[in-house]
Amino acid sequence: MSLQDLTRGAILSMVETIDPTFAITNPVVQVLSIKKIVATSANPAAGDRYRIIISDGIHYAQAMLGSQKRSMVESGEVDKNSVIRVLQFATNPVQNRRIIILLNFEVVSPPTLERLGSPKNVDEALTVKSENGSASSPAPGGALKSENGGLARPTVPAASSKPFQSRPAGSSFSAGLPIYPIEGLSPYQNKWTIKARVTSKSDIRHWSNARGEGKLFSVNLLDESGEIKATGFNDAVDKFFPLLQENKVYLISKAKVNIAKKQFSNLQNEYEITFESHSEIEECHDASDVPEVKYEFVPIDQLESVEPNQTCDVIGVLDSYGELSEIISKASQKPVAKRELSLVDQSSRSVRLTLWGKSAESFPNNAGVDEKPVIAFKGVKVGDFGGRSLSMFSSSTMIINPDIAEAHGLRGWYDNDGVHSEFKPYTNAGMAGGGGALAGSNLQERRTIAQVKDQNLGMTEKPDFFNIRATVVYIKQDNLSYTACPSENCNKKVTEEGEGAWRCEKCDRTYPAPEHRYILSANVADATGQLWLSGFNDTGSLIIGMTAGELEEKKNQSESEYSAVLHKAANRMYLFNCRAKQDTFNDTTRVRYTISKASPVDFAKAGMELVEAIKAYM
Amino acid sequence: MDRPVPLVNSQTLANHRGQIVRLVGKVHKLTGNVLLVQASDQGFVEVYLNPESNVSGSVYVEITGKVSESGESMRELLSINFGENLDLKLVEEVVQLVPKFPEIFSSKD
Repeated sequence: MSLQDLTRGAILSMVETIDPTFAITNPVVQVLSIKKIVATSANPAAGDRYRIIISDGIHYAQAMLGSQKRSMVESGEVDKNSVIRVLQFATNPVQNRRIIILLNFEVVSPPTLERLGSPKNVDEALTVKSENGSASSPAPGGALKSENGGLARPTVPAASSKPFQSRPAGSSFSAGLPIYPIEGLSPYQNKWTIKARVTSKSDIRHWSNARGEGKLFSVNLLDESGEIKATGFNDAVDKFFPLLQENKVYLISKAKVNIAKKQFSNLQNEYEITFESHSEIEECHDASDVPEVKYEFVPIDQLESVEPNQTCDVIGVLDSYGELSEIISKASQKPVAKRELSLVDQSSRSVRLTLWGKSAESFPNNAGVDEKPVIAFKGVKVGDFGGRSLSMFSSSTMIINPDIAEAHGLRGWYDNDGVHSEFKPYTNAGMAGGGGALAGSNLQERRTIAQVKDQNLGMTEKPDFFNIRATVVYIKQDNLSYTACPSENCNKKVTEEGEGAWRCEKCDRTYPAPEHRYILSANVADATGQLWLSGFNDTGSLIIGMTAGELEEKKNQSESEYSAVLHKAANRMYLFNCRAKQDTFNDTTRVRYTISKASPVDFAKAGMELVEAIKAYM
Repeated sequence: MDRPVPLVNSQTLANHRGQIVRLVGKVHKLTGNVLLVQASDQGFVEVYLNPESNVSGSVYVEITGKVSESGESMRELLSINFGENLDLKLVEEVVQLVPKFPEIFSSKD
């Protein structure tokens, strides 16, 4: 047993800790003296107490022995000059000092011949420090520097200038500073350093509100114990944004720990970190003890087992990527950049993945992007467009050619077999609108017309969705179609301003001829009742059996043929996917039923549905 | 036909000796005027056709006819061609379910 076996800096750390669960774990110290304090008449029940002096070879401090460990002293198990490992302790502030309370410890070695090292009273060391520092008590900000200096380089006796060999379990040192587990961070203690990997980094975001404006960015940090979000504002953005890179490991210290604003984070930690101007971030190349991002990849052919709107991890070879395009976000009415990638894997299937915003724009700039790289994605959203599709969230991450086993496996497979293979994509014939399935396929939403009315569908604020199997009884003949703008994706009504001059207000253009599009109003019935449904162009074409333009032609040619077409369209059964919503027109509020998708009936299938319903009823 | 005519398969045929029934099935073999029909339960039924009958072109057929006294064959009264697309499994479900709801499907006598 020698000086090296004691945990250097432990005494200072224990004395300065406010919340001891987060301090150095399990330090090894030497007991310099034990003094019994007889129970006072004021508190006889407490029993005798023991006051112990403990030392780490550099400093010594007073400690009280928790009453549960009294027996160890009384039995002689612990004595002067014994070396113990502290398992649990607390601190109490008493007259400007903190007294350590030893709650649990174990004996590491019987008493050494002499005390180890030349420990000085820690109180003196603390007084000296506070005179040097700008504040009298530890506080975030300038004072940290000198206090950290004190902790990192305590007076070391010449004999033990070697770095020490035995380290207490659970703590490690790097450049003299103890490395804390992320789970151990709290607002009560700010002398910590963490060694963590950046698992995701956000873009720089600018904000502007009544209180002012600024910019910020954030990263998610991961170590063995947990994850925490860290944010930098304004100047910290300039200082740290270029420095921190995804998937690299950094030593971070002198930042502030606050209560987490959970609505802005996808992590569970109740705390989060804010970088300050004096925060220190240093890249750490020895990253072997920091876990990499943990993936749970779903093979592309098993994506069907993931429900839409859930997230998952996917890895594949980039078979191709598309051009940058732009759509208008329904939520913000602003343009958003998007780009589609096609990923393939050994399951011989391909899937589409959508990138948004900056990552869509800068995608071609990534190294190796044109050499069919392996790309790993974490936390991407699963959708059901075309069967299954993938989309990035802002919290999703993408790593090109990660150094992990699955990536090597994919590379080997692709270079040998995959490059020659055909991949079956996720598409569904007849995909229009509903994302792959036929109308009426969601039996949970199936209703009879009587149920639609009895259940008051569409009569609340929110729209209701349902599907019915019903027969077209009558199609309203007037106002069956309108003249629409012929340009792609613009369906606005155009008005005739002159011979061969049809004006579209939205496009601000005039066209020689309009397109005709249906506005269908049809009465449908089933065994339980009748309903008026509204439909649009696709539904009209399906039910009437020709396009609105063709019907318009017929109307001009022959009234009787026109009527015959509409007559023939009646008395046919369809499955209708519908949306019921309240509509207020002047003073009257009515429910309107709109067809989002219509399909012809597969009678054998419908018959089987009835059989199942009958059996359930029996 | 003022009584409901029950839908049968090869097994339930024998429950209606001497009565008029409907049989839906797949045309299997025509030999002279005897048609072998595979019913919805996969079993075969002999049907004695009328001279003017024309069922050979069709894959599926519905025969309305009288069951013999032995219960092993039937004599055609009327046949309808059902074309090439029919779900015989659905037919079998109906054959099984209908007898369970006599209040709906039986006649009043």
